[in-house]
Amino acid sequence: MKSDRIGLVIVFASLAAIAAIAYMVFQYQYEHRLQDIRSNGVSLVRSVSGVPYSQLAPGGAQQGIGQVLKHSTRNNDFAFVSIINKDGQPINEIVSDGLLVPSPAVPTQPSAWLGEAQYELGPGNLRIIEFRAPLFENGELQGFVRLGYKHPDFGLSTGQLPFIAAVALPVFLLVPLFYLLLRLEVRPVREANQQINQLMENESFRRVEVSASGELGDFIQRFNHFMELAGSRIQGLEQDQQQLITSTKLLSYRKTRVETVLETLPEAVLILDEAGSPTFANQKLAAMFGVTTEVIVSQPPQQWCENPDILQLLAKYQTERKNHNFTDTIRFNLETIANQAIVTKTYPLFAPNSPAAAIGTLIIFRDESQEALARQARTDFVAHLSHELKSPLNVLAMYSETMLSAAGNSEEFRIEAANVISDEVSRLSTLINGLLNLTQIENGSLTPDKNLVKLRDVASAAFEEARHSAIGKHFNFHFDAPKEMNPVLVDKDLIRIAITNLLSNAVKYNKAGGEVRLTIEETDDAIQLRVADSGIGISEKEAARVFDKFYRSVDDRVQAISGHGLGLALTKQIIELHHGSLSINHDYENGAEFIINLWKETTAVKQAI
Amino acid sequence: MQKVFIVDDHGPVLRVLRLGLEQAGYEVSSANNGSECLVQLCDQQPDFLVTDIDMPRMGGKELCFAIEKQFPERSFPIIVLTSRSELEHRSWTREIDNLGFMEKPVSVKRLIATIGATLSNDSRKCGT
Repeated sequence: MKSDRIGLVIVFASLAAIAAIAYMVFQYQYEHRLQDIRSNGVSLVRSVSGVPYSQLAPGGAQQGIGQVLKHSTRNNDFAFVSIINKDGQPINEIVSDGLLVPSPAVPTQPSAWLGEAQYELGPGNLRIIEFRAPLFENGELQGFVRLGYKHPDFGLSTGQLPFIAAVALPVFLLVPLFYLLLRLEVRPVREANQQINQLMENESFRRVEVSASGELGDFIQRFNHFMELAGSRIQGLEQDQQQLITSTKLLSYRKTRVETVLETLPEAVLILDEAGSPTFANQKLAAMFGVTTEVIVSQPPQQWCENPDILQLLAKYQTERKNHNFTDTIRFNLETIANQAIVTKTYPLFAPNSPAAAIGTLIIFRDESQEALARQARTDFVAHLSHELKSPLNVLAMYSETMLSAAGNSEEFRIEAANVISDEVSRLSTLINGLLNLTQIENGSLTPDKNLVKLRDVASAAFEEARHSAIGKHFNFHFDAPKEMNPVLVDKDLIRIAITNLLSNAVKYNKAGGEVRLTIEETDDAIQLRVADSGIGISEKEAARVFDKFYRSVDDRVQAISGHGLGLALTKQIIELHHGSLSINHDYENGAEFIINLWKETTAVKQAI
Repeated sequence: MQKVFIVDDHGPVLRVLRLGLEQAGYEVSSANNGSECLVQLCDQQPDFLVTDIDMPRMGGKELCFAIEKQFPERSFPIIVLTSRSELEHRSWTREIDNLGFMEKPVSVKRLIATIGATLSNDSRKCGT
């Protein structure tokens, strides 16, 4: 299609060229003829102007000069020749066939005597060009000679057809020839174009296989060279891109690894860039402030933090760059979380290859609430222990001192002192034993001496001991256990302490005439032991703390009864040492009921697996 | 006869202190905790108050602050019997005038001597 268009363009161009050539030829011919007429006309009328008027007038010797003038011009161009007197009356004239001599315009001024005029005659608007010259007789103006020519036409005349044909024929013959030659010349270009299109479709960089010579051959050769260079360059770029992708994946992997490490840290972590803006926050930090990590990284600190200490800290790293080089520690409490103690430690981050320049800051938010609580617990423990130890010691000191003084001389006081000292020593002994057992269990230094034990026998012995200690208090004791029970693998001494503690509490915190009930049930998996009383009970609020060391209820009825607050803590530790559980039955409404679950050995092994 | 008020939740302590103080010539009143003490205090109008720290319902510390508030013109001295003498556990005693502490185990003889020495320097009565 494209080549057809080129062919049409060539045809039209050649037609246009022919037309242009013809126009120029016509133009040349027209101007040349006009100039011929003008020079011929002017020279003829000048020649006639030198002849005396009388000789040109009728009867004159030169009256045939008109015929001479007619034949001096080309037949096709001649229009008329006319001799007129000075009044404009024609006295002799010869006219071409079919024409009329236009009326003369007699010039009055001598400067206009010799001149030229043009007319249009008849309905066909035949254009006439007239040349005139004055005629004299003895130096006096007697008339004029007028010589008219047909004005030459601009256009093709039949006589010019052979010329036009001679020009047009070779052009028309040459055009298809040129077109064929052009097609032949263009063919390698078309082939090259098709191959380039295929290469573009396949996105490949190969050589274009086209046989061509001359400039096109050079072009194809240079093009192939360019394609080789481009292919090589693109291959290099693809290798670079592959390396870049690999590097990016490696970086991403390393970034993920670092972030995983930062996420795994037990502390909340925030990383600031060198401008002090957050670039990374781990989930623990987000949880600490109750937002997402994206919010911390993308939003201003005021959007996710209300604590003025932290805001001040972050603002400091945005405004005071020099502080990047210092490790900082700030303690504060988060208002959002009660009793939470947060310690912030900041460390400057240095580039590995430029240890002098800080590239950011690592801020670690360490929740020291547990440590603070542990410290407080230790302080409370020592305070309790001091009180629990010194109180009986105080009594012992006072009584022994008084016994040695005059005030303690009476028999009655000595008996009371002996009883008091015995009670206090017993109290101290119980306290110290309980503390030792607890400490050993907590330290892991107490290894239970487990043997297959008939739990009924151990429980029965503890039950009888409790009943004996409560003689005279009119409690109702109930012991309900299957006569035949499978032996369980326990440390019988420790289990006895645990059961005794529960029974002792059941007696101590019971109401007068109340009930103390010890029940044992055996299932396939476990042995359940329940100690219930009809005493003052345990509120749900206090149930969460009754197993804490030295915890004693604030209830006046409890406070009125002597105790260290160690019994339940020790009992729980003993049961847990046997992989069992100790709990409070919240549904029990008559008083308090504690439930011990001891897993049978096979079940415990299964659970451990 | 000068009157000493003893506050302790442990019966034997009350009995042995009462015995010692009465032997030394003091009239002794007692209460089992801070609340009971506050109730009796105006009626008893003691010359001296001895109190334990750890007691049910109202401990010794709370009792001292309650007395400071309810009896701003109190003149009787107070001795607190404490298990721990470390500064952090007795710093609050500085906030209350005319108050001393004695660390357990307490010598009855020394306590009576301290009460005696203090009262001989100050015989003012409690004003309410």
